[in-house]
Amino acid sequence: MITFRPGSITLMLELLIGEAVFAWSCPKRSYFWLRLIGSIAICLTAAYFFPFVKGGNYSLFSLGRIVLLLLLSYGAVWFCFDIKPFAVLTIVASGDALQHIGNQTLNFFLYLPFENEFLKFIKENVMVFELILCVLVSIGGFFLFGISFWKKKLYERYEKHLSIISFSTIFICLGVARLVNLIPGQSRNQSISSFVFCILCCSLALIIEFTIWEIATLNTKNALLSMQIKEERKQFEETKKIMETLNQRGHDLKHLLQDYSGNLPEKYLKTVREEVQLYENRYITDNPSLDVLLTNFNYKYGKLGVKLKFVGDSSLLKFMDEMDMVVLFDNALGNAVDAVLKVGQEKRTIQIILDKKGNMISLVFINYFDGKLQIKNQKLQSSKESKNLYEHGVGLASMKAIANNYDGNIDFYTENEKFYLNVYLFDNSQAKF
Amino acid sequence: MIRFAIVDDNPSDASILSQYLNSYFEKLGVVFSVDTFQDGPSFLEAFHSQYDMIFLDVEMSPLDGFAVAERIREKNDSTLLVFVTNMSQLARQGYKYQAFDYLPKPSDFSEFKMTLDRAALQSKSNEDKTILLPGKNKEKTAVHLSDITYLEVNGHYITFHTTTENYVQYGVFKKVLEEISLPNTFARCNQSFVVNMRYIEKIFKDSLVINGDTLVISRPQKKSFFDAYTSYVSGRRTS
Repeated sequence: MITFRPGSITLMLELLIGEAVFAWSCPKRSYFWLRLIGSIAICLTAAYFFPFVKGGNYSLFSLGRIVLLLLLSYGAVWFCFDIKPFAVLTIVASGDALQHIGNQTLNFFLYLPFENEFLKFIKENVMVFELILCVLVSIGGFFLFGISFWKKKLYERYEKHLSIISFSTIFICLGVARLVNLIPGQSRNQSISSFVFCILCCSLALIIEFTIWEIATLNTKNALLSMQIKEERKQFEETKKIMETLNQRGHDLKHLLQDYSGNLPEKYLKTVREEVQLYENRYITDNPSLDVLLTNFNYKYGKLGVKLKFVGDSSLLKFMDEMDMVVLFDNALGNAVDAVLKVGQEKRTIQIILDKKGNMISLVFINYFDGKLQIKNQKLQSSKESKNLYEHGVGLASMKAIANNYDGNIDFYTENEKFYLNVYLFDNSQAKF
Repeated sequence: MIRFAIVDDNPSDASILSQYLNSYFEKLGVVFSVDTFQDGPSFLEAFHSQYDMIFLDVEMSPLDGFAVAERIREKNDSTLLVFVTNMSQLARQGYKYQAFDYLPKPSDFSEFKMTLDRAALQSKSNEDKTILLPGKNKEKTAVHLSDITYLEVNGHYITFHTTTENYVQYGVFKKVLEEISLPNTFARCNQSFVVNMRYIEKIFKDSLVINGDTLVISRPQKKSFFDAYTSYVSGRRTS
């Protein structure tokens, strides 16, 4: 005989609450509230009318019920939030894990070998308490996992393979837990053990899933940084070669100017003088790698009226790995030049200040900017329209990573139309005193 | 009052710098003075460490800017030196004489302003304020903030270490700090010490040397202290 049980509605609600912990921070589709109300109504109605056959195999129906409810909640999350199917899958799995922890915690209390008024009251209102407990577990889940899911935007930084692995981990744990739960004729102690086992399995599954996710995020960042460093190395090597040619050309032109100054047309001589001036303006310090960087910058942006001033003894940076220095300067100067090209010619000045006290090296990049820089939560928001991670903050991240390599850090602030990027590093190659 | 000297054998270049100083301080409403010298010897004759900042032309005769800088450093170590030259490659040699900055010839106002913004923080005049501290005979003595190297607290006893002597005052450290309102050239390196960054001689990962004394940079203060020091180098005005 087919019957309907309102218990499925509670289960559906618990699942939706668990999933909301992770889904709520995701980008929402248009007509979100309409979609949300509609999908919740469909899920709850379908859950209510899920049929039970009296006298049939309960465990089979229970399994069928949970699969159907999960599929429905998957559809609801996908319908309301604008995220990829694999991210939805992980949200559903994580939500189910939270629901199961809440459910099994309640069972644990109900099977405790003692009786009191409160436990009796819980048993009389079991569905209400199950819902309350699931809400409490979901709140805990939000603080433990939901916040990092939201802040690190894990829903957009996932890999298919890792999603499948994390999803499988959760469902294997859930599956095993549910199967253990379905063994008939268990003693009280066996039941309590199985509830504890379920709670641990689900908690562990969530921890594994989020650890895998964090690792995947770090791997993505590392891959992007490596790509950037590789690209910058290539560019730097090319620039080095060009500089050698330019130096040779500048040297030849200087001699040409000396030898033929009276015999050549003034128009031609003017061009030659300008070229020689570029050659004369090259940086010659005790740090040849930095010379290449700064001189190349002058060649590239000097024509656009950008003035670069380096204040300090560049040999102080010799302790740095050449590529670390190149990436650091390239990123800092790249940001600075983007900013000064948006202001008037009279403010197109970039200043680099280098200072050393003991082992501490301070490196400050100062430039004017148009005042439209966005700083949110102490983080620089790029004005670039591209949402590509490579362009969006990897520059700052790579500078920070380099500074960290030398026990230092970076910081930035704005003041009086100027942007300051402060970097400090420690020269560990030196003895302390 | 902030005191400047311009040493340049080209009167028109010196005049441009003088005008820039006028424009810069007019907006801020700060009182300043500027003395102009046409050569190194006349400047050195008048110099007795009275200037906060000196603009030095590199190519001059009979003494070039570097030779003048060498003599200045023999007399005084804290005056800010700015080399002015049309050969920026030459200016870089100035770091041998602890040059604060250099200005290319001709320099525009935005470059000049950047230099002055930084200098304003690092010059002694930024700490012109005087506070009264109990001296040896318990008589109140006026002490310039610029002469304080660091503050040390031990219970309710606060020691003000200065370039010449130490003053001990009884009070609550936090309250005293609020009352004297230290400029942001001062930074806390641990629970018990607040240092004047101008006098720091060396900084290491976990300690610093100031006025010959080694102080610990505590773990909780590390980030804020290193950030404060880098901001000091950059010339930040507000903390």
